[in-house]
Amino acid sequence: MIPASFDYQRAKTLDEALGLVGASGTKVIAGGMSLLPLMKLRLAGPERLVDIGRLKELKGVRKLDDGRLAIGALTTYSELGESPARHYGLIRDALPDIGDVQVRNRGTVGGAIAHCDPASDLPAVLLALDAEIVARSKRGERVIPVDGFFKGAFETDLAEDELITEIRLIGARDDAGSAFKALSQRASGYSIVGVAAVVIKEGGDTITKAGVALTGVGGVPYRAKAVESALVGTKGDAAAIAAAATHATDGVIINGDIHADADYRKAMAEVYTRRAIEAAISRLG
Amino acid sequence: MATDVQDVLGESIKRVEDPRFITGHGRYLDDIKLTGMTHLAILRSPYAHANIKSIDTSAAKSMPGVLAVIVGADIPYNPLPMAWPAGGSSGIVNNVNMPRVLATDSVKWTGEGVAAVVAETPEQAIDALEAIQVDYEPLPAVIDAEKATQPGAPQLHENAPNNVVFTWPVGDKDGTEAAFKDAEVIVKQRIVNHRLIPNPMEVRGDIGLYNPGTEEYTVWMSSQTPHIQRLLLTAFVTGIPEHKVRVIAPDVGGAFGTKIFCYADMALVMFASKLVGGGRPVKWVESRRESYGSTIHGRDHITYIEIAGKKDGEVTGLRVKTFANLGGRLSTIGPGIPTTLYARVLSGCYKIPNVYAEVTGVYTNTTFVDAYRGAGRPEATYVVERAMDLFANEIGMDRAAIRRKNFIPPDAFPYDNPSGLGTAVNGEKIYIDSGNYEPALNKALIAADYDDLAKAKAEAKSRGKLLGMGLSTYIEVCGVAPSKWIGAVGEGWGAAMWESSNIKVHLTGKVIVTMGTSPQGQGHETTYSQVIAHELGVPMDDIVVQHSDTQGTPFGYGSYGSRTSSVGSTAAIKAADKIRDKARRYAAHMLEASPDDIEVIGAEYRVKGSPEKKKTLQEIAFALDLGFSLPTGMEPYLDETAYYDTPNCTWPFGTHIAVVEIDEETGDTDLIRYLAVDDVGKKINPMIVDGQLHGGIAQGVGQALWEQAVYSDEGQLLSGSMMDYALPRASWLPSFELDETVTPSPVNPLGVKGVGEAGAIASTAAVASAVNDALAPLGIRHLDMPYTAQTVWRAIQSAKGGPA
Repeated sequence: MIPASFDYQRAKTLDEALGLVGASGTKVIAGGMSLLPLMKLRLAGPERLVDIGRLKELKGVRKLDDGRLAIGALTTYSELGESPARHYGLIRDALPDIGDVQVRNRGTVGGAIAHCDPASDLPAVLLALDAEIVARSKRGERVIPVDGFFKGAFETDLAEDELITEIRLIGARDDAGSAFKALSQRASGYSIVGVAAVVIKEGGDTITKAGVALTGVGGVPYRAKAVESALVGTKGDAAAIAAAATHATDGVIINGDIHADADYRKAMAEVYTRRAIEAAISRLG
Repeated sequence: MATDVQDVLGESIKRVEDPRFITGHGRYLDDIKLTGMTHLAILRSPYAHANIKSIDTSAAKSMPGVLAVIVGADIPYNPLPMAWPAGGSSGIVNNVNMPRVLATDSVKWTGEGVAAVVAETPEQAIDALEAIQVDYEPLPAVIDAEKATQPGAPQLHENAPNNVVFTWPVGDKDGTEAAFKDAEVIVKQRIVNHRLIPNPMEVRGDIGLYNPGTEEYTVWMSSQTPHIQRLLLTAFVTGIPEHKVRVIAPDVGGAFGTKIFCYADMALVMFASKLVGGGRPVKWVESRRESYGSTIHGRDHITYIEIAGKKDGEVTGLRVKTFANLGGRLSTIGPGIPTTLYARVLSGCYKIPNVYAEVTGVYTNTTFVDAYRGAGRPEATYVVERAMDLFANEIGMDRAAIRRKNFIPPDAFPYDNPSGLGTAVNGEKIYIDSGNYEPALNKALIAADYDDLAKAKAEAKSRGKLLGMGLSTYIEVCGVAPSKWIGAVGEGWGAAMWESSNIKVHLTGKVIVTMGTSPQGQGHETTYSQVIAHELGVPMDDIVVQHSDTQGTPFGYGSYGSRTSSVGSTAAIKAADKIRDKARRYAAHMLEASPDDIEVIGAEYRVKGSPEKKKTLQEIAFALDLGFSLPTGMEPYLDETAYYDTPNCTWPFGTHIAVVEIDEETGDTDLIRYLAVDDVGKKINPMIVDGQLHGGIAQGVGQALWEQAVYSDEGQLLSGSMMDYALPRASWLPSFELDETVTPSPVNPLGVKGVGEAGAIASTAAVASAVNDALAPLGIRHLDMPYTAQTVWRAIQSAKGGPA
């Protein structure tokens, strides 16, 4: 459990970091909670690590003028849980099951997203919230809609020379309810199936907008748009939820491993989609 | 020292080890730093089965910091020894294949050592492993013990046709056949007791140090058995004279059986230390991932059960055929576990008159299998407890009632069980010597609200949950073992199994106790101190217990098999008896009285009838150790050694009850209550007993619900790390509800039995019973462990006619 040797550079400013990333053989390290285990197992062997972990400008959660929430990429899970983001039901649900205390104290929101583990919970949370990801390179800044950002296992829309600086969430609103429900793989704690659900009933008791995303099921966390559209326009009663949940894996190539084969994941995707939507609606008050 | 020293025997004294363990002052193997230390790393086979055509070490040799690259052909040592072939004197053929220090011609599992690097740093050693080129010729692999015996299966060893290590029958074949012929009811079931990875908190490791000036070796190892390892490494493996080797086990951070055995790395660090720099110390510490493939695994039985009896619940016969997976080559006592420690106690606490078992030990392309907490007895308990449940369900009888009906009654002890415990050696008999099973069962049933089970199930069902309650009425064989029974002429263990103790009372009255047993975190320093404080009347603070170093402790067989409190403590008491006897004789000399007139009250030695005429043990030790005035024939010093061979094992028992709830939609299974009524005899330290039970129960529950070693068909260990092998976590477990009955063991003066394995032996079967009870309303008769969400869901779907 000793990594191969590598060069190490710690960036002191964001500009310095942007000058270092993108070179071949270079990996960015923040909290290191995903990368370091891979390096110790010698499954990853970068020639050079650029440590951005101390860039203060990428830390913290702030409220934007339009009410949205901006989460600095280097905000740890623990910091997120103590920030205004804790008022989002699905974030409150998801955080305690991510890693353990040590991982949550070091692992960062930006790191989790850039790493894009197919069973990571946070990408599903952001997909359901229809978040925006802000990335910067020497070439400039761009705002990436989260839908489409996750390309495949450990693969995102991020260019080699780009760093995530911020994640923006819709503002909290009284007519929204959200939840995250997961069946965890007992050994790793990763989700066999994790479902994030956001339901909005704008000005009445009919669902006007829904965000439902799954992790652990396919090659990459994804939005279940067929579920969302089946929900919109209904009142969110048990029958409507159950019918919508049957679409949880539409068009998805489902994973299988020693803990859960594809049949089981498919069945659980439906069960947990239903349970997450039910929980989200129950929080609408 | 005075008579008012508090008697600490039987008290929940805080462990004297814990201040050092919990403040970071323990000294484990990897904490040892020696001047000039070098580091060894082992290249392990990526193939489960392959011939080694060539090994090219030239590139590795020129890597930075590399001092030596070693392959098997360099090492003139013998293969590791087989210390416990199946069957003892009964003439059973064992087709033995033992690992070499490094494999030479072929590899038989992923993880078998092929080459080693010694370097200045661990990083350099590991980097150099990647530069070693091994040309393998991959061969087909087999991982399932039953399939390995079938025609056409890949063959591992020339001397083991059909991969069979041995076939060992035990019990009365004809009598059992007759019982089945006459039976009103017969129930049959194939069950799998799946493979486990033990996972002590501290992984294994060794340090070898050769002194070219004296030609002596010192070997530090994380071991339960330093004396045995010195014996095995010298007499069988290296040929180095025994008196030239000193073995030290420093603080050992858990073992669960894995550190009983002789491993290749132990010999490797000895060889390497002599090789590099004329005696530089060589350290090897396995990584957790390495440990998963190269330290022993446990369990892995496939068993066909047949149970016969009458419609009124009387069980008349038990017939069992077991395939025991022993891995690619044998571990030190691999064959002894599924034979003596399993099939001989298959009938458990029941008076089943006819028992016959046939055990086939099998080679497969998997990590070797040996003793893991409980070692054979959890497997036996699982068999007989599942059999009793299946029989009860078949005839529509209550599961508690069938147990009550078939218990060995309290007036039947000593009980000569039919699977051959009593038929051991030279006419010597081993009996189940004591027991009273029904009170423990009754106590547990009342505490568990067993009579309200139907109501609890209905309430759970209303919440979408299937509730089940499971019973396990177990017995255990502890205090292994009488040498006359377990030894070479009897059960085949190639040695004795007595224990040893030395006690010295020094000039200042302080007491040093050295033991042949060797702890791994159990708290021996505390419990032995409690025993000796009681025996000699001295405060615990005046006693230190030393162990685990072949230099300075009497030869002992080490700690495993729940033997320390029964066999080890009795050796200590025998040594204390000798101390007291000599002190009494010397007190008589000091007080000018006859030894017969000296009475001993705590640490005071008084003249009977004249209590003011007395000497304390401290005063006696001071004078006797100086030896200025000695009675004729008496040697100076209060220093006595005792060896103790137990006349019998000890026989703990009890009833464990598990309550589970299954999410009917997902199969996710939660343990919601766990009750245990254990009879472990008298207790030296009840808090330590509770701790042992808690840990053992958690491990047994872990097997039933979560843990499983999984291999691919090609022999790759898919559950090769804690990311895929699910160990129990505290938050998944309910608060255990412990209670007791106390039936003192008649075997030893303390009346203790042992408790290290009881929890693990009982709890797996209890949880299995509970899960099967929960699933019974769906028409499911038996489901194999582990009850992961997917496994349980699939069984539910299949029962409901859904996708199987």
